[in-house]
Amino acid sequence: MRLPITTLALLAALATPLAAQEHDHHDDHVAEADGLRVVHAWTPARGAGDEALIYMDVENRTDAEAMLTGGEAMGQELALVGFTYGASGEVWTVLPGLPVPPGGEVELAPRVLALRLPRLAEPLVEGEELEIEVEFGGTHLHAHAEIGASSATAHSHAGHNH
Amino acid sequence: MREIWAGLSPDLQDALIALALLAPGLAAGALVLRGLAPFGLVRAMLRRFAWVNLLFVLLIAVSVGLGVGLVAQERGLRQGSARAAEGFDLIVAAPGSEVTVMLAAVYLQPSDMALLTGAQYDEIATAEGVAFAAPIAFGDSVDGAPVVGTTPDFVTHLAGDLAEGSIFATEAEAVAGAFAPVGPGDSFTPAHGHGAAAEGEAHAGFSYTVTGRMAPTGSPWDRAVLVPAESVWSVHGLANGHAPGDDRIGPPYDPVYMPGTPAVLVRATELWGNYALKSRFTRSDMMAFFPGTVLAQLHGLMGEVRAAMSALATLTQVLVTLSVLIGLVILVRLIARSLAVLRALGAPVRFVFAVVWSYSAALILTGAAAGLVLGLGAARALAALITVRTDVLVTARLGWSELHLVAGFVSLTLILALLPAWAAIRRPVLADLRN
Repeated sequence: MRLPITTLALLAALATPLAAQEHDHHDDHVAEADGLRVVHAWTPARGAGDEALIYMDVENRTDAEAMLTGGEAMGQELALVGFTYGASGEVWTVLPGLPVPPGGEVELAPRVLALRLPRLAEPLVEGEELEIEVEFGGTHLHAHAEIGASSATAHSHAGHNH
Repeated sequence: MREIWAGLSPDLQDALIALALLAPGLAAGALVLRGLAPFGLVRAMLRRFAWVNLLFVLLIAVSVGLGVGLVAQERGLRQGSARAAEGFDLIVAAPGSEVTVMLAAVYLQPSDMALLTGAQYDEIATAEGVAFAAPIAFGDSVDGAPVVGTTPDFVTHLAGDLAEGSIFATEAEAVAGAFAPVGPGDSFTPAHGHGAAAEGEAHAGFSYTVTGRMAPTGSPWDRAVLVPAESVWSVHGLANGHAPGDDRIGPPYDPVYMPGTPAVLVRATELWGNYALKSRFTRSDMMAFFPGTVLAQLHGLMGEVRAAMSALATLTQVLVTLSVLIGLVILVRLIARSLAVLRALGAPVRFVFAVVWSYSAALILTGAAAGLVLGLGAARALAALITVRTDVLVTARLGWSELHLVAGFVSLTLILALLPAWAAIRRPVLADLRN
């Protein structure tokens, strides 16, 4: 069967943006600089004035230990916080830093570890993205955090390899 | 506005919420009673129908008490189970269910678990940033209480200084939990296993002597008996963690002679170290987790149940109050003649309305107050029962959640109490006088 040239051209025109879109979509899940990777950054939707907790997988593909120290988003400092739970309830404590061993990974996950934005100047709306900067000492890594549902417990693509 | 609210202390926020919940009922009362003083007549009505009033108050008290007791009990159980897990910073175990390992290691619920090898334990114990790594080896029991093999460091970490005596120093010595069935000076032979299937004679010929007793921790460990991990391995015919001729108790263990352990409690030298160690030991051949995280997730799920329980309790209270109010409407029919006489003597309609509303309000407020006391008593009785059954110290006390529940109930029912008052003034005066 022969397809008319116009049909082929139309298919090609349609296919190219789709492929590019898939590529961009894929890249949104990974940010990399100097062998340090932030994968699947995400945060639940929150209202203005609330605090936001940002989660991600951090990978160190270098031969040296990297120290995750915090970050920045919406013009505010992101604090690295660790979760504890006891009779007084849930507590997030600010940590001075967290070493990521060479070739190792650290998972910032709900009720374990997070980067905390203390007070949102504007709401985080589900489906949008939050631009963040993750700091490893002097190395700054720009990433996009997916904004999930307010009840989300993981990134929408958690489990996918990148 | 939101920022001002966020800046208030939690207690002040709760107090303001309670006031906001009460406000509609109080406002209704203020409007009804403005410029009137019907309390003398109300007291007379309360005395005249004392038994009926008592029944109404009891009905309200039981429904309020049920709600208060459930909410207070749920919080007590949540706080008690969280308190019991506070000493367990990081647990490392063979891959499997975190919940199963948590129940076994923190709450001493017997479970079959894969073992970490001596080499794996050695890797954990010698990792940078590890203050101590205590094996938790269970499987034996005495008089129904678990006998757990561990290290002297773990005993001190869990309960601080001993309440009496000294920590075990040889394989034949043991430390009893605060409420264990054996105490200092006692000797016992451990049974192999737990419960009815425990084999009492499996370790015949071997006995422990209790040398000390721990202070209470509020956890199931209060009923346990702690012994050196070495002796747990020895009595099961295994190497005791040290090379032959080495009679030490406690780490370091020789990986070649260490049979393995179902779980290891890890404490880091720094707080952040626990998170780094969790990442390090989360891998295909072992898992590391924070019991606090697992428990918080479970409690998060319980939160949904808690919300449903609160809604059901509120609904029950409102239904009971509606029944009481219907009863009051019937009661108003019985005192209709008295009310008609009141109006014939020149009492304004508003005064009659205020008398009936105040009468209903007195029953509601007395019932709610009695319900608070009843709920607290029920919660404490349930807490004592759960503590005996689970060995987790559960304490129940009144909190803001219960006060909010009662405030909302009182406010709603004070407004509903307008109905019998309205029914009373709608009655035909002349007909009631003739009757």
